[in-house]
Amino acid sequence: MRVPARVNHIPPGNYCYDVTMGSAASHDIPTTEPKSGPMTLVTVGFNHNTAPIELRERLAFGASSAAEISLALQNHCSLTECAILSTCNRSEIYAVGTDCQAQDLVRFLAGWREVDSAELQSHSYEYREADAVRHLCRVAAGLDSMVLGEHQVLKQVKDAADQAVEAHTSGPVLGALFRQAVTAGRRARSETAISRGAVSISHAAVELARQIFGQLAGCRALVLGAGEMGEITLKLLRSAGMRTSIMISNRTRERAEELAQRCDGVGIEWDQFPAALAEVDIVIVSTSAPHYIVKADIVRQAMRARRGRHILLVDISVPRNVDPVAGALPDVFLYNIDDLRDVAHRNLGDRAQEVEKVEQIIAEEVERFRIWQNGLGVAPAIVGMRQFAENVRQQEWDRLENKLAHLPEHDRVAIEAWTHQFINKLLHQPMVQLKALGVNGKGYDRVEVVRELFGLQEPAAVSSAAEAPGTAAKAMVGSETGRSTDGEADSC
Amino acid sequence: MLTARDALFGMTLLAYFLGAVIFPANLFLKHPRLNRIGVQITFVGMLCHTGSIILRGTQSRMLPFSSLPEGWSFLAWGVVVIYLSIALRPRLPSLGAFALPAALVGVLVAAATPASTPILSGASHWGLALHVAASILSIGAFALAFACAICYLAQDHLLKAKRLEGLVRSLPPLGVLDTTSYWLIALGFCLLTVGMISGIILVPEVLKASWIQRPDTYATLLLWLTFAVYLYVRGVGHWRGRRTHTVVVIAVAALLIVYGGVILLLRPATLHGGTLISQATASAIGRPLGPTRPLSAPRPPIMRESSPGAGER
Repeated sequence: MRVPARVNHIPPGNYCYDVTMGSAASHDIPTTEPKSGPMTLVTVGFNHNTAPIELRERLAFGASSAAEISLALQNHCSLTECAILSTCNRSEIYAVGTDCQAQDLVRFLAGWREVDSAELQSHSYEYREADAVRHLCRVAAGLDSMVLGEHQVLKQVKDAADQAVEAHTSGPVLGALFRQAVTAGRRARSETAISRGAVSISHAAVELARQIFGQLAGCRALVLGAGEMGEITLKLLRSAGMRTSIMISNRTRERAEELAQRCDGVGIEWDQFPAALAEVDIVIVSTSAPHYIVKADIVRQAMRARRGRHILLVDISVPRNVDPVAGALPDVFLYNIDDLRDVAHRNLGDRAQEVEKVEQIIAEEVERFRIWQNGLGVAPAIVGMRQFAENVRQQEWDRLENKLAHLPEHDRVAIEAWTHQFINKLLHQPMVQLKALGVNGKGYDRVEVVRELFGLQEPAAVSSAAEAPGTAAKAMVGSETGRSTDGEADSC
Repeated sequence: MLTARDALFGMTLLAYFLGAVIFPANLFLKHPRLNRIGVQITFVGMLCHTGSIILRGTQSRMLPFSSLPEGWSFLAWGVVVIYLSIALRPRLPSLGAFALPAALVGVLVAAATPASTPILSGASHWGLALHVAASILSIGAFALAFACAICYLAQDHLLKAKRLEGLVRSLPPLGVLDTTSYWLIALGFCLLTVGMISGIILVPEVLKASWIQRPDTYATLLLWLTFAVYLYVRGVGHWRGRRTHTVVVIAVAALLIVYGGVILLLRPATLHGGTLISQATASAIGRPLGPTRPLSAPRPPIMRESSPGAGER
């Protein structure tokens, strides 16, 4: 288990930590030397706009692998905080560290997943500081998604924060960052129409089915995988008018049965799905298997029995679960997650008009984060100043209390309360000024002066001013609203 | 002087012209309202066309497909009527991009083609009229099935190639095209069967010529068999998909070539409602092909044929 980074110092101009380095990882990955310097927030990522699916599927992380790589990344790149956001459409690293360099993160990732570093670099994007905050807010609001304003990405952002907390790689900065991003995402969905209208990958798949079959009432469907996406797609098919029984197959039969009960479907054994291909018209494949499940031979055999009836294979898995060769067979229409992008774009016109409003919300949330971030610099000084004053007051009161022993108890209590009031009034104006300077980002120079004036040798840890590592993210996750119930699914 | 019939025919031309512009343009504009407007205009055009045909029939006391230009006009009317009957289904109005230009060509050819002396008078044999009308309407149904099959193949290609922008969204869904094509072929097949049976029974009686000597009979029979096989494998064997629509395209193209091209070119003949009657045959029934005249020109007096098949019955 990693030892959390010890917050040691808040420098002028930037908050900064000394980092306790972890052990070396077993992977043959170039390590970076521990650095000292300003603490920076960096985002490196690969999404559907910059990287092809072949690359993205190699960079996809499950919950456990995300925690593993977060820990390794933190140890190798001198990071104090690290979080991985991995969805079907993106893999992003959020890192906080001293003089953190995006190239180091990309190089590490390339080594970890055995991908050519130069190629990875060419498909990556990088954001720093406020741009990184804005980027995550945009991701949470669905502005950076394949389907504008999608719902599921908000949950995925929350899950990423949760995973980082559980892996002990999250800290106050990332906690606050993810909290701010989730707030931006929630506000965007409640205050604008960015998510109105069922537009998603699953919805796009259903629209594609309509384009091929016309009415869906008589179509039969098979859902491979009993996960969340399978369920969302299944419900969407039902709402689109599919009246026939939907078959659900999963490696774990019990999960298929559970989903079938919830969605008025029929659970079938996993090994029966090749035979079912000859009967159904639409196949939604959404499993977490890292290899092809629906192979070309299986589809070819099914097509012989179908006598030219077309079949729609929708592969919304990453890595892909349907052999691309199957798409070349006559009367087979195979669409993977990238192919559905075009279908989804048709429905984005109305949502696109809301982008400006959402950007305004994001700008507000980015500003709030900046204020909070700036407050990190002055907060220890404020705490130290108060502590100094309280120590002085307490010492003076201890000395004075004996001299006031002849006074009644209620008079002594009143005098002690007065000392508290005196200290508060005395410090009120300096504290207000320091906070204002912190908000404006000009407080760091004054912090040193305050420390020298009050003799503050050991400033309070930043974690005392911010929320404790993980607490913020946990609180954030706990306050999450549920996903939309309009049947809209996200990118994965 | 402009007669009511000419006015109606002119309005028909205008309506079909507008339809022939609106529907193809809307394949790219993709405005749902434009399709509705196009269907409404086509419906008005069809009413005008019907009125024009009725007026012409009542004034000349002849069937509306008694001569070559009238045959073309009746074919255009048949295409439009069948199109309107299927355009009520969602996404199918876009088939007007094929139907309306075809109908416009039909009425333009009818307007421009010099008319020959009519063969079928109002007093012609009812069976022969049935033969001609059924044959013409079968061509209309097959033409629309041809359009459906072409759309199907285009849509199939675009969806297969994942080119999901552009025409894909304008064309009807594959399932709708498949079903519509099937029913149009079935309709055309029934009409063709009626036309063939009536022709086989009545041609020797009316025209005093054996159908066995007519090459178009064999071509039609071959196509009839092709469509019968298609309907069997599609309806009973439940075969469908790209291959079946390729068969439809080839078969209908062959049908159109047979009726509209090869025999017409090989044998100097006049098309009467889809039935090719050669000069010799026409002469044999005592109706030599007379001087030509435009469609709007007054008809010559109806000839009283000596042939028993052409007289009143």
